[in-house]
Amino acid sequence: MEKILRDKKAILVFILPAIIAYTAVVFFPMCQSFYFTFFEGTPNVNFEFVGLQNYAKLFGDVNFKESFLTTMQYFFVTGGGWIVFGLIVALMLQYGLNHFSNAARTIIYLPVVIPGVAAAALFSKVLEVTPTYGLLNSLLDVMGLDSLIRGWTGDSATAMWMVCLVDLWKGIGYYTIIFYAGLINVPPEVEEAARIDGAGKLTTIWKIVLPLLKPVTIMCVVLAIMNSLKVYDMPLVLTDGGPGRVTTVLSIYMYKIAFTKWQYGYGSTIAIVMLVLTIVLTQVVMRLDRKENV
Amino acid sequence: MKMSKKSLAAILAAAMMTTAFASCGSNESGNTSGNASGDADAPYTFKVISENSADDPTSDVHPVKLALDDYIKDHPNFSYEFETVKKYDIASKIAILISSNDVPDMFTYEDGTSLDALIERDAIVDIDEDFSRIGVELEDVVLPGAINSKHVLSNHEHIYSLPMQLTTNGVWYNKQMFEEKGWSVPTSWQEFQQLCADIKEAGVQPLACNGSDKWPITRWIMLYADRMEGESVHLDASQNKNNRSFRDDIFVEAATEAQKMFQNGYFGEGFNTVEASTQYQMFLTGQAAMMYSGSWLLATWTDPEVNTLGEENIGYFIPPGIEGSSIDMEHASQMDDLSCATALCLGKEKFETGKTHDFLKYLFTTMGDRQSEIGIMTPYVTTKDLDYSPTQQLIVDQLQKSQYPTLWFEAKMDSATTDIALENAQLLAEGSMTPQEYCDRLADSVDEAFPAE
Repeated sequence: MEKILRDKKAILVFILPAIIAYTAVVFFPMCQSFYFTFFEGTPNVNFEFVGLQNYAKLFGDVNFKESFLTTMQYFFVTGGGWIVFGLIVALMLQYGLNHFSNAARTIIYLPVVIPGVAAAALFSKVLEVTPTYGLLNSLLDVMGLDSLIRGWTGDSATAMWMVCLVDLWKGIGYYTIIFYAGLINVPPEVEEAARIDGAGKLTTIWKIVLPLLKPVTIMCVVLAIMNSLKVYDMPLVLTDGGPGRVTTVLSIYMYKIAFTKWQYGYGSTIAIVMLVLTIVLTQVVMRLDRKENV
Repeated sequence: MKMSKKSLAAILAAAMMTTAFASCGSNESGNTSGNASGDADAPYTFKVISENSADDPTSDVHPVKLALDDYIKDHPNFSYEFETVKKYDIASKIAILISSNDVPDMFTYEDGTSLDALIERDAIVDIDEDFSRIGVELEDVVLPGAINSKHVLSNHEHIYSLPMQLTTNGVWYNKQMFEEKGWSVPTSWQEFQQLCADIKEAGVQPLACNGSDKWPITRWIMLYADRMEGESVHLDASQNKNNRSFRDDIFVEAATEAQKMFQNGYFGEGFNTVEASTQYQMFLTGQAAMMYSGSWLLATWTDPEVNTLGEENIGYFIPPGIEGSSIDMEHASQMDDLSCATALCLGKEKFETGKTHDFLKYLFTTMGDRQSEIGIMTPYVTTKDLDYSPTQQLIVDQLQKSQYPTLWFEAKMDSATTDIALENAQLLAEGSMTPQEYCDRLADSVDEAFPAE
C-alpha cells in the first residue's frame, strides 16, 4: 500500500476522477462566467460581444454600489459576529460550563441544521406585526414598550439588522463547534504550566489558549468571509431584498440582473466581482497571518 | 510553497460561489418532448407554469386544469404537468427555460412591457397571426372588449398573449361594519380621507394593504394623479409623451397624498410586510374595514367556505373624484383601472409542433363557460345564460358604467423604471424617501429610456 501511495501515477489515478468532476462542475462554469462578462444579452439568443463595457458599467451603477455596501455591512456584522460570538461561546463551553456541556453544545448547534429558508420563515413570524404581533412585538407590548413595536423586517431602519441577527443566530453554532474542537486540542499541560506560573484563567486564555488557537481562528475567518459574502437565502426569504433595496445584497442583485432582467453578461460580471472580493479578503487575512508569523 | 497551496485553496473555494450561477448559463440542447407532429395518439405532456396553484379554485389556471381533466378522458395519451412559481420568479424561470429551449406550452406572465423581452426572443405565439391555426378564430372565442384591452396594453402591432380575466380595481368594503358604525360610501376624495380618519378613530384599520407586493402603494399615486388631471396622465409621463413628466407638480402632489395616507396609519402597521393572503384575512375577519384590490377576488367572495363575512356584506366602490380638480366627479366615477393584466402566453416552440392545437381549441371554446361557473369575470365568449351573484353584479355594474378605462401605474414604464417605481414605493410609504425624490428618480429613469425629443 505504502509503495502504491509513493507512486505518482497511482496517486494521479486516484485523484483524477475528482479533478475531472471539479473541473466540469466548478472550474469550467467559473471560466464560462468570466467569458460571459464580455457579452451583453442572453446566451443562444442575442449575445453580443461588448468588451469591458460590463466592468465599466459597474462604476456608474448606483444599485451595484448600494448592494456592495449592503454586502459589506452584512460581512462586518454577521461575519464578524460569527467569529467573535462563536469564540466566546466556545470558551464558555470549555471553561465556564462544568455541567450540561453536552446539552448546551446540542442546543447551540441546533440552528445550524435548520435550513436557511425555514429559519427565515420562522423569524418572519417572530418579527411579525400584522395581522397579529409576533413574539418580539408581543413581548414589547407586555413590557409597555409600545413605541418600539414595528414591522421589523419591513422598516428600512431595522430590516438589515434583522437579517444580520437572524443569520448570526443561525451560524454561531457552526463556528462555536469549530472553535470548541480547537480548544479541546490545546494541550492541558501547557495550561497547567501557565497556572503554576501564576497566570489566572483570563490571562491563560489571552496569553496561551488564543495564540494556540490561531490556525483554527484563521480557518474560521476564511469560512466567515466566504459564507457572508455569498449570503442569499436569508435576505431573500425574510425581506426579498426590501424594503426598497435596503437588504439587496450582491448575490440577490446578481440573480435579479441575470434572471429577471435577462442581462447574463452583467450578472456574470457581478458574480466575478464577488469572486474577486472573496479572494482579496481571504488573501488579506492570510497575508496578515504570514506577516505575524515572520 | 505552503502559501501558494493556501492561495489555490482559497481561489478554488471562492470559485464555488460562481458555480451555481454559471451552470445556469447556455445550454445547446434543442430537443422537445413528444413525438413527430401530426401523430394525434402519441403521448404528450402539456406543461403549464403559473403563479398560483391550479388546484386553488380562485387560481387563474384552475379552469385550464378543469379543461385538461375533461380532455384527457377522451385522450388518454394526453397528460399534463402544472408548476407553481412565485409571481416575481416567473420571469427568471421562463428566461432559464428559453435558454434551454424548453419554454412550457402555456404560462402566465405580467402583461405590458414585460412581455417585450419574450417577443424579442420569439418565445411566444403571435396571437393575431397564429391563433387561428388551432381551428378557431380569436374573435369567436374572446370578447371584443378584451381583445381591445390587449391591444391597448401591447407595445406592438399584434398581441402576444390571451386574457385570463377581465379585471377592474376598486375599494371593497365591509358593508355590515359600515352600516353598524353609520359610515357611508364617500362621494369625493376629501370625504374618503375623512372616512379613513373616522374609521381609524373608531379603532379599526381603515384599509388592508399588501405592501409587500409594492404595487398597492403606487396605485394610490396613480389614483390621485388621474383624478386631478385625467386617466392618461401617468401613462404619458411613463414615456415622456404629451409634455408630461413625473417631475410635474401633480405627481409630487400625488406622491405626497399617498405618503400622507400611509403615514396617517390608514394602512396599519408594518404594511411593507403584509402579503395578499394576510390582506384578505384582515378584511374578512373585520380587522380592516376596506381594501383596495381587484375583481379577481370575485371567486373568493362567492366561495362561502373562504368568505366568512358573507357575500351580501361586501360592497364595492371606486375611489371618488377630487373636489376642485379639473376632472369632474362624474368623469372620475367612470374612470376605471380596467385591464386584462395577467397574460396567458403560449410557448411558440411547443405550439409549432401542432400536438396541442386540438386541446387548445377545446380549452378556448369552453373557457368562457368554465370561468363563469366558478365566478370569474370572463373575457371569453360564453354559451350559457349567466346568473350573477351579488358581488359579481357589483362588478358588472361598474364595468358597464366605465367610460374612461386606464391601465395600472407601471403599465407603460420600461423595466428599469418599473423597478424604481416599485422598490422606492415602500420607502416613500414609510417616509424615508421624500415625494420629490421619488418623482425625480422616476423621471430620471424615464428620461433615460424615452429621451425627450
